[in-house]
Amino acid sequence: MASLEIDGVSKRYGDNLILDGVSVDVPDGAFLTLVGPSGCGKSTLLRILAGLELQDAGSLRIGGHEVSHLRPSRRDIAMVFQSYALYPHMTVAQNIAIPLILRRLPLWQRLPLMARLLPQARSTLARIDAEVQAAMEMLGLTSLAERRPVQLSGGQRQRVALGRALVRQPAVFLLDEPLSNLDAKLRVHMRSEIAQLHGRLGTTFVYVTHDQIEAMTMSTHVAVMMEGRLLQVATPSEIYADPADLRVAEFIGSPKINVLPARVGADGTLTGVGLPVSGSVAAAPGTAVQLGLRPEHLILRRGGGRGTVSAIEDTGPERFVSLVLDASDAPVVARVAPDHCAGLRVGDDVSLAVLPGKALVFDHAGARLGFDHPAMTPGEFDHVR
Amino acid sequence: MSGGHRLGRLARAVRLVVLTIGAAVMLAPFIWGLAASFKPAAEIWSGSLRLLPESFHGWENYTAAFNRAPLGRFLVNGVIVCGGILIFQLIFAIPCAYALSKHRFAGRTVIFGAVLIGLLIPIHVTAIPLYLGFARLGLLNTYAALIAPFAISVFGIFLFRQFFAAIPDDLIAAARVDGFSEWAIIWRVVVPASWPAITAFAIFSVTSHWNDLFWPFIVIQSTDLAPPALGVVYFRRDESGVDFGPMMAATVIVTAPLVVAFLLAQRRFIDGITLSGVKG
Repeated sequence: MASLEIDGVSKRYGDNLILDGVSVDVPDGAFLTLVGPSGCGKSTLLRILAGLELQDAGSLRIGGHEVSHLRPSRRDIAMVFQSYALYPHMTVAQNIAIPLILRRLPLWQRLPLMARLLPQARSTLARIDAEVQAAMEMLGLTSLAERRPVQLSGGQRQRVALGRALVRQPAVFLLDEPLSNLDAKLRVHMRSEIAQLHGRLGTTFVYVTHDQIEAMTMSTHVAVMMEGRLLQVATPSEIYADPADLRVAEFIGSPKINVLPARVGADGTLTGVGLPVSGSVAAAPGTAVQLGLRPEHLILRRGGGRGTVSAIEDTGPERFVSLVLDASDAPVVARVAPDHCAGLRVGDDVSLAVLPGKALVFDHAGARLGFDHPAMTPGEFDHVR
Repeated sequence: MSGGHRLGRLARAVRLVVLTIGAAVMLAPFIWGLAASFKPAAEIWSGSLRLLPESFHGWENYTAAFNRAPLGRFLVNGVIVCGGILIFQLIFAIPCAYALSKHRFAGRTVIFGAVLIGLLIPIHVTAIPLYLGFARLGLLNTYAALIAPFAISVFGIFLFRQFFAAIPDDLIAAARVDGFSEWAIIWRVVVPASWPAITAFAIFSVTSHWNDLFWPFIVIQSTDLAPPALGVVYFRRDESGVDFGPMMAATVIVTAPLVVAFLLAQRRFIDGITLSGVKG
């Protein structure tokens, strides 16, 4: 167990800057998820942590010790790969045992006959075997010990890969999109299994994914990456409710956050949105800004002539109502409980309001701006849900 | 529907006929040789085309083959030379192909280009310089002269590089994280995952060198060192007349190990395919 400090790591392939001075401190025992669209550099960062790639600049410390110059096997990390990367010619038990055998038995003791002849090697092997058994038991693999990877299902292979990683008791676990080759149902199951594993081991986890649900549900810390930079590192709820950057707000959340162009009025209020938003922006009057509105923070009312319903998607527990605002032509999606929009049809005339204090304001480049809003007056939003 | 089915059956029948004719054409000389090895000389020259011998002369032909030339010696030479060549080829080609497919280093494309050019150059082009080199080194008429020129196989490097390129990078990365050294990755991770390619290469290598006449003919004078194909030639020369029965018997004996080895390897080949495949 150890903390992990990433300090100013940069990586360039030819003319492409893949990582641009990434810094993040991961406290001991944290579950950090690196999330971002494909090509954002998250996997490269993980491979640099593992020592499979070398950074051009920056330093890495595990438990306070610089590890940049160390080979992968000396860094006290274990890694789980997207393709599982199990050794196809070895059984489940052998796959899990191999990192321990390579670590604890010197080369000459690994020769086929030596292990049987030397009492010392024999006792080491017995200890390894006990640890492998314990790991297999923990992951429910005991009955599969003698199978080869081809004879296993995707979920079982994933568990073997986890077993091979955890048997070493590393200081840091690195997981590179471990669930993306599984079907949807199994993914949800393995998601909670990995989160539970983290809870039980208490080891530092660094988890790479492009799936925001995985990031939000499993992590203690989420780091959103884009174009080689870390945009924000925070807890899942902070990332969602308090994004530092429009790109973070757009990446996290489904359906995507609505973004409407607006302008700062004389007294700091927002104008030109096409719906009333109370509050004042910390920016000079006349500045063009972008207003971010989460679909669940919109209140839909029939009539009022502010917009027209263009589509309704029913997911069961809630409906996504798409509409076009008359004022801006911008498409907007509202997330509504079925009871609140029963009988609503495409083409219906509606008006929108924003839950107070929920509007997010960003400048033209996407940086978050301060936005003061008046306190909610009692009774004003009684009709809300 | 039934028409389509019948067409399928017809197509299959046509395919079978074409393949059978092809196989018959390829096998005919060998089958004729096999038949001749059981016939007396008079019958071979009789002019009538008959597969089965009228009088069985097999025992005489085969004992004659073993008595008149050291056939056993030729076979042992064949095993030593082909085995030696194959072992060296694997020792050199596998690490080289691994480096070419899984490591990034300056000059990689140039080296691979050189390998591809090497594929285009037949032994006949380099034979004379090689002969002169071995003559200077005093190595003519030795096993070394038979083995050394083939110890590095560009074909092997090329074949393995293509096969290794299909091994997922993640598997190599996992091995590095687990603590395998680069050499251990080659011999304990890559090689076990590559049996189909290694078997295929072994078949190519052993057949071509077992049957090779050109190079042994150039560097070997002693009967004791002759590999099988050259041995058959000596056999004919020593007889100073052509006695086809025993000669065909010798040819059959010389070919048999290859056929047996191929059948065994084929089995291994299929095992290899079912063992490989990381994602399955």
